[in-house]
Amino acid sequence: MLARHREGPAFVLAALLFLAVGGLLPVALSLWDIAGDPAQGMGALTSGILWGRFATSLLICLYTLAIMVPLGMLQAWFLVRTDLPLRHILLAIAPIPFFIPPLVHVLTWFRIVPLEGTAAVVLVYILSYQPLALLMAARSMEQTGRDEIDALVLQGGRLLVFLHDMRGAFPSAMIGGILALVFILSDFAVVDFLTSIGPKVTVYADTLYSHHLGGRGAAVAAASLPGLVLCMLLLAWALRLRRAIGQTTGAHHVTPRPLALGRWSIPAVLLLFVLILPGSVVPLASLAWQTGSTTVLVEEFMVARHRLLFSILIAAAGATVMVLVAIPLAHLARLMRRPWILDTLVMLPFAAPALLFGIGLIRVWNHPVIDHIYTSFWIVVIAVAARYLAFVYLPYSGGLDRLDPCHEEAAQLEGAGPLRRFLHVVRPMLGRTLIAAWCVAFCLTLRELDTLVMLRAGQQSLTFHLYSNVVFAREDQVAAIALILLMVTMAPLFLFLLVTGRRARLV
Amino acid sequence: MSKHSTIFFAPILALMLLVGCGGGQREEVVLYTSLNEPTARAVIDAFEEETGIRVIIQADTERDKTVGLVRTLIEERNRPRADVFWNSETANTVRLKSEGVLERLDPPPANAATVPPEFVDPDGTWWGFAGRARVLIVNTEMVAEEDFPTSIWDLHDEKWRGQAAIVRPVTGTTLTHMTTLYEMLGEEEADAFIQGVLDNECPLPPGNGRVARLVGEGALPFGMTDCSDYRLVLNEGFPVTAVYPDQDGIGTLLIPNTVARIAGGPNPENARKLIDFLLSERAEEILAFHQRGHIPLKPGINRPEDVANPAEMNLMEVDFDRVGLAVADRLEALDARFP
Repeated sequence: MLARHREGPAFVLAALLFLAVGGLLPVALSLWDIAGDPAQGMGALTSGILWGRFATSLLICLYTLAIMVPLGMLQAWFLVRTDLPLRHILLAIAPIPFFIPPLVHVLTWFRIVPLEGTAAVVLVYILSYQPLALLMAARSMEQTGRDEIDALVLQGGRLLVFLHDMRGAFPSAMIGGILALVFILSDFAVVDFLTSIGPKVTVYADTLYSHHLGGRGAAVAAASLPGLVLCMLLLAWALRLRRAIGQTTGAHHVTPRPLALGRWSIPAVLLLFVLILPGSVVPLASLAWQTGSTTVLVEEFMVARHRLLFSILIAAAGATVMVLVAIPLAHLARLMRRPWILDTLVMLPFAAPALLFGIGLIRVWNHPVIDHIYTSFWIVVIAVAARYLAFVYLPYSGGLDRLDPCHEEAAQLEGAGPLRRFLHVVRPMLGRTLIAAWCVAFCLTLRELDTLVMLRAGQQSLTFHLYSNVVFAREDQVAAIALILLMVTMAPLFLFLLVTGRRARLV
Repeated sequence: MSKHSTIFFAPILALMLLVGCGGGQREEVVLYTSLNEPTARAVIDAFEEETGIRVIIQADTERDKTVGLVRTLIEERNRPRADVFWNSETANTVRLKSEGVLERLDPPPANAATVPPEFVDPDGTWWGFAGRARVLIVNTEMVAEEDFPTSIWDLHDEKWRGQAAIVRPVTGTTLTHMTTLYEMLGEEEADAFIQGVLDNECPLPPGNGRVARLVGEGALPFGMTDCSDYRLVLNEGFPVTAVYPDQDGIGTLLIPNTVARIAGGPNPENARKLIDFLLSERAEEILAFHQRGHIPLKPGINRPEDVANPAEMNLMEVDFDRVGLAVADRLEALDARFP
């Protein structure tokens, strides 16, 4: 197949090259620092402080996951399986909290409720990352066919369907939880801010930054290992599980009829409002209130308009590169006997701490031959595309797994090459998945800071502008910048809903 | 659906092709600065206007604990991309000098001669300008004037248990301040100061700006911060005042901004011009009248009334070179001591 049509291998090789040079090599080069000073690395790795803070971070993660995973599954069940009023609107706004940087959640909620302490940290993380569990669980539940649901209803009514859905969606919701764990492990700002008064809590990421600030490269690399290894092991496990789940779905899927909630409709919709609105509508309302007037909003827009345009371009270009790279990689994975290996490699740049990845990027790209790229817009595109590639690759490869291979085989027998098969067979069926994944990638790129701060071009972004002003500017100005960022972040989500006219399916 | 994806992706691809094209031949200089960009921009705009040289700024954010730039400079050492390093304090400048990232400017820029000698690197690699004092910010509605703290040792006072804030001293000016205490007072006395902070359960906010805001908002009665952060909160109308601590004792710490040229940077002559401008009276005046109110080091420079004059203060006598070289080890020790 590949021998007769050269474009297929060419795309795959280009995608592999991008993954290797843009994503894997930077991480590898940063980790190589351990070899430069093994004693320093070993000292960092055996430090009781490191493991104490790692345990603190894990405890925060466990509290967060213990609440967000069941909550996400519960919401997913109501939104996917029932005739809950307004469920399409609720499903559309459910992802919003994930695209709001956690520190912005803190800043918005801080004005309403005086948040402090570890419980507040867990609350903010639940608000921020709950959509990951919700969307993963929702997607899993959508795979159950009408016949199966009808049989369960006959056997045991809604309760049996509920229990069956919870059991089936748990692994997917846990994948969302593990993705949340990756984000939480690399964050120190939320904890630092929310323990300003009272007992101070320091976390795993604090140790990484402390070594970083002290210029101890081997210690940074070595201290990154516990988090990196844990994240990769969990992700590898979850991704294997995910592929197994994907393969159980039949090709001729019929969407089940929604279960009637009857008199429970109003309590259920109120419950979901309580669970979804605090993370999505409240931050927007709070920022609008803090901004105070449209004059401030317009002034800040005028000041930040070039950065806004830059951020939009970076996010659009980054998301597009992710789509272009993810497609051939997903098709390659489909041909592999152990596709989870490729899945795991794609996850590595995301699982690595941002500063480790940023240092590696400088080492890879600061060379005379590729001089123009290092100081340009494109280094930022490469950085974000490599880091968040998994967020396009995973949904697309998941969709590909569920496609009936007979369509592609028929096209192949007619002599269609990989590109034509993609354009005429796969794309019509997975186009919506790709657009949804593009939207997710766009939003994630817009909120990215940690990698971009290491790169000169990245500092033209709106996120950088927001964090530059967060301590120094007036509160109404900061709120206005955050509001502009959020409105831009949400634009593609709403555009997507407008274009497709159907329910959002973002993961 | 295929129509949707074509409509969706085609304009984006076209836009991507357009981006990255263009760019003129205008003279430029690349500045890496640990200041937040809005503050640096006030001076840089004046430089651009005066010389016509475009300044490309790479700045840091408080969120990143201002560590990004120093590491970037070290990583780029073999192929420097920056021309000038403008640091908001001294320690990392000394560290970069010891790493060979900075170079001696010979002959020194013209305005270097006007910098007070205590803020000049003895080897002629960096110069100080426009400083920030370490102050105690006090909420005037929570603390009566007769109870105002006057010394950093007031952080230990039992009556302020759990209420007198200091930034966890592992970054920025607080780290420099604590390292200076160790250099000036010796291990035992400085250790006692740190232990007192821990024993008195001082709140440890994430940055000096946060300390100032918490005091301004009345969440805490007082805390240790930079005078620039105090001034921001004051200008927002919060009931605060600043006490320059230990005027009858070891003195107040004044930490200058520092500037140096990057060894092997791409635009050495423009770097010299920018450094000369930053050391000028005009730059200090701009920073003094900026909302953050940096303190001019040179005598006789116009300043707002509430911006202090170093000539009228008892300042700590600091060997910034020694402090800078000690910072990395001190950071490791302090990180281990604080929770």
